[in-house]
Amino acid sequence: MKKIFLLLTLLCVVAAGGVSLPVLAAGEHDPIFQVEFSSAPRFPIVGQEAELTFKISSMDGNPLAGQSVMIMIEKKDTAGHGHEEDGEHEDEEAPAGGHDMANMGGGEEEPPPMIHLVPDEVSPGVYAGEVTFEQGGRYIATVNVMGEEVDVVIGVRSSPVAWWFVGGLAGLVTLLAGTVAVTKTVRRTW
Amino acid sequence: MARYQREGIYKDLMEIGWFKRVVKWRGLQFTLMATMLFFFTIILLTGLLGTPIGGSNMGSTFTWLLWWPLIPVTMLLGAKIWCLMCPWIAPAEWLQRMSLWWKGKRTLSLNLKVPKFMRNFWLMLVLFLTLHWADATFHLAARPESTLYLALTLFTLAILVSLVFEKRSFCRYFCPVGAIISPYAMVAPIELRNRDPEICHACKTRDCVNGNEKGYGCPMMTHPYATDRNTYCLMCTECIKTCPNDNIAINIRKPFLDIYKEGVGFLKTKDVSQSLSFIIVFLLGIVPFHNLEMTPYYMDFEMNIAMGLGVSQTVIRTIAMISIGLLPVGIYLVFLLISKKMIGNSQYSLRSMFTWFAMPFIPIAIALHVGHNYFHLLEEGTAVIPVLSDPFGFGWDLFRTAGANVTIVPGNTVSILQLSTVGFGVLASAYLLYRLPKNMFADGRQALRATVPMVLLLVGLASFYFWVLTIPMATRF
Repeated sequence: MKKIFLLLTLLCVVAAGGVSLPVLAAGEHDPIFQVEFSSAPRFPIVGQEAELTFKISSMDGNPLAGQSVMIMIEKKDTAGHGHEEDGEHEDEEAPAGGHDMANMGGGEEEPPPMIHLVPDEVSPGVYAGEVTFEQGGRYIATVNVMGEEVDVVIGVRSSPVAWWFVGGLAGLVTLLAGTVAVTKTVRRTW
Repeated sequence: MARYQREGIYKDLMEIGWFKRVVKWRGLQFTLMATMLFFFTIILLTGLLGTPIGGSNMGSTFTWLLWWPLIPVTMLLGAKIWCLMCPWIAPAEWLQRMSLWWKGKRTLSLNLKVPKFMRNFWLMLVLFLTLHWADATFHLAARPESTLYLALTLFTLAILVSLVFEKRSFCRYFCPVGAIISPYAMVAPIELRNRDPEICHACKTRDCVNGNEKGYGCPMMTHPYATDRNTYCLMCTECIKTCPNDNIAINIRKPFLDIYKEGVGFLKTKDVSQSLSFIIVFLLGIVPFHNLEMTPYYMDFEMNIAMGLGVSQTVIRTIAMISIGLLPVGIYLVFLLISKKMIGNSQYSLRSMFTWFAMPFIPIAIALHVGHNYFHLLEEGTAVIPVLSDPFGFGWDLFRTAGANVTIVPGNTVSILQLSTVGFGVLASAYLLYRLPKNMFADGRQALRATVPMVLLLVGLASFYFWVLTIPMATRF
């Protein structure tokens, strides 16, 4: 009798461990959906309207159509810290304007307000909305569907490519090279 | 023929057959430069088209986490070996020479000589400080587009200078990186020198200076037959190609030899100038400042002072940078005056003592610089591994490393490396403070009296640097 009792107890312990360990290993909870992000232009530019597109699907790839989607977009430049005295290495997300190199110096600008976006469903599982960013840098878009959240990183350019600057440099080089060539030809000092 | 043997030389690499063939190959420098230019072009394109998030863009990460921190490391080991393959000057030189690897007959340049008042390191120091200031103000590291514009500006400057002035005037008088490369190169365990000075003395053609059908004269406007320091030598190997007597060697030698070696003659070399010494002393302040400005304490300090005075942080940072750079110059002068007082001899002017006593401080300066860069290389630098697979931040995964989160060394190890490197730099500087004055002063007691204040200065600097390294730094991205 005693042996049967011990055997049953052992079986219960093993069964409980077998069920709970995967649950513990999975952490708080697994996401129930995934997000594929794209934008037009590819990297939004400050001051220009950008169309942000979020393709939301379940973990097995089926589009999640007809959902109520809420997106919160906040600027978050990464501020890592180097080794601490005790040897620990921390990496933490700093709020915009916090202690990080990217926010130094001109870093007197206030962080932009959080953007709340309620996108329209343009096709099954594809949600899009227009946003105009006030500052360049790294943004985190938190996509909320059915109470669950998934983060997406968005990079925003401070300004469009300064083609006038690039062209100006090229023009300067061409002008000087041409002048030198003409000078050497006239002086016959090749 | 008896082989001339110089003191402190371990091995002449030109005695190795395959090495000699490679070095004498006309296409060597072009191949290296073209390769670097190719990678540089990719970096420019990522700045132009890629993600604006610095830590995910190849342009920012490779430039500021790999190339910039590796510069002093390469100087420490290989003198100006980087200059041999520098992509910045590549298009300028090819345009100027109107050739790629072959010896051209014409040049697209006015070939003017740089004005005499500019033939020193002052302009390079100003440009280096401007670069440093721009990095902090415009966040060059964190914003890929800023890196792009900086690179294009430097390319353009190199081309413009090369179209107007002779040879590598850009490298000798304008390059902002040259301000730190030139002093650091003097500690390297490698050099390019004549093998036998008697052969050079007998040479009438001086092809290493004037060039011949096999190659160009020294592009740095030096005299390779008489070069006695690494200050200017770019390791471009043109003199090796042109020398009709095969009398140029690439030697593995004792480190720091340029600083203390015998027989050079006190102030009889033009390779050490007051402007170069000023840079060395200035670096003693700028390098720890660069460390400090990446710490939260300094960031808070700057913000509070700016708010208190009602000025922008940029103004405060500019003043702080110049002040902290000049502070060691002032302290150094004070200690020099004490030294001069202690030797009680007016044979040596303050100016000459300023120039020469700066030399022994090169090792501690480069040691702190390398130590500071361990953080960028070994902690932040792991960001280059995922970026390699997705250089533009488009979501690619070329080499299956896009999601990699790599730790090369734990944080504690970086601290140990930093402190031990600076420790080694201190020891090296101390040794040079022992050796150099023996060559400067005929009287040993005079040398000792002159050196004591400098040793005290070294101890003070070392203490300050050790303290600076213990403060945790913020990352660039």
